[in-house]
Amino acid sequence: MNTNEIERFLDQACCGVGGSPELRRHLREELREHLTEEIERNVAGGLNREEAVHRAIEEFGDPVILRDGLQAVHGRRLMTLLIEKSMAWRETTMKTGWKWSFVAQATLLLTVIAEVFFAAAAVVYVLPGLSRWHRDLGTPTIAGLPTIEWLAHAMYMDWLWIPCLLLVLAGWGLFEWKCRGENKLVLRLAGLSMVSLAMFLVLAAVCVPIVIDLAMLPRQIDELRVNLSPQQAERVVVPRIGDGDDAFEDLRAAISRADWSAADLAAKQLSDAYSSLADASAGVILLAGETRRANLDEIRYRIDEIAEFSERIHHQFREFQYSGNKATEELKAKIQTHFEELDESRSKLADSSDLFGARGAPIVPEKPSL
Amino acid sequence: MDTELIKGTLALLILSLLKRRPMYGYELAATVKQETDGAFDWKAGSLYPCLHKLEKDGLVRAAWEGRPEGRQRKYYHLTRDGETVLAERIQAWSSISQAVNRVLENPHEHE
Repeated sequence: MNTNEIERFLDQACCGVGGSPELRRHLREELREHLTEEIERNVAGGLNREEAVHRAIEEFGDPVILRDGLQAVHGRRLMTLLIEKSMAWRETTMKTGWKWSFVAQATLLLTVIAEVFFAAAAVVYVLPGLSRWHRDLGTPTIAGLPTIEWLAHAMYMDWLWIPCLLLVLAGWGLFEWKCRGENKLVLRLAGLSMVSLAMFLVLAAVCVPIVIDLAMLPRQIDELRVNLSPQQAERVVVPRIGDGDDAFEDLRAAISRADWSAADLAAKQLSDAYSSLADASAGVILLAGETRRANLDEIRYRIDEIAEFSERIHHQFREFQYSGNKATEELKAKIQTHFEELDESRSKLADSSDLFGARGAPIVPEKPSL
Repeated sequence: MDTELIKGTLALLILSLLKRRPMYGYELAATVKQETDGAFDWKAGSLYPCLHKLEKDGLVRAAWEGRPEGRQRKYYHLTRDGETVLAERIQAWSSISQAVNRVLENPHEHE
């Protein structure tokens, strides 16, 4: 029995009929049973199997009429409906000529380019600026903002996005080269639409938190001004600077005494004090009376630098301890170098800020002798 | 024969055949073909949509019944609603056919 022919016929008759999968399975079984019985009758009448199948299918009638009738009763499947609408739309667009299809494709392509541009601009320019504002003001950011900061890092990962871009371009080139079917235009439009939609989602994911954050920022600044007077801010900043100064003095003294564990502890305290300043209090410094905006960058830079140098010294002491407490000349030279750098940074910080110089204490220490 | 006329009688004949006993699709088509001497040769394209419509309307009830050789057939049973509707349609058909016959058999028109 020519089973394939029967199954093809049933495919045509049942294609797109709505209802539950069980209903469609039963329908197919019912029609198959009808055909089988007709075939058996034909065979009994003297026809061979192949002829019997042909005759049964012929007697059965037009599968398209049957399908339309069944669809009228049970409805149509959504996917079939969508495909038919798409095909009808394709026919219409093909009739309207190449101009409209060109306009549609060019519009989608430009949309994708614009979305990439805006997403990149938001990540590269807006996001770092906004993060810096929060850092300066010591204000909390909304939950969504840090989660999209990885995008900023991803933008600089050439090894990641350049291969991805090349892969996409290669895929497109392959499609243009190999695809010769009549559906090429529809496929290209569908591909561009999907890319455009995906980029829109990325853009929304990037921009929505930024917009919300920007909307909240003025209120946060107002609250800061109300809640944190310059005098209060000074009470926050000055003890931290004092902690840093104390730790620096301890470090200098410990190095002079060659007391390496005390020096290690002092270096760690120094690093912590300046990290604390670097993390949140640049904005507090501003509110505490540091009105020279140009200097704020310098202050922030120097605070970061001091935290970095003290961390390096702490690291050198760690290496020193692991090497069996043998203070080699090389190690001493390294600590000396870092300490000089640290000393210089603190001098520049004191020069650049009235607030740091306001304590009156000599911030620039004498160079330690190892 | 005029297919529109046949279509109009399809549901009536199906319900009428099912009043005798439960039947399956192929059996319905074969029976009506035999009893009308081939005048009514129902194709699947009209028979099955009509059967499913009747089932959906609750006039017939379908049930799969097994056979000794293992295959199953979908038998259609006339429901109580189906019997009521059949009686109404037979009545209507009778009125219509009598009216039509009166016109067709009017001797003045044939003169």
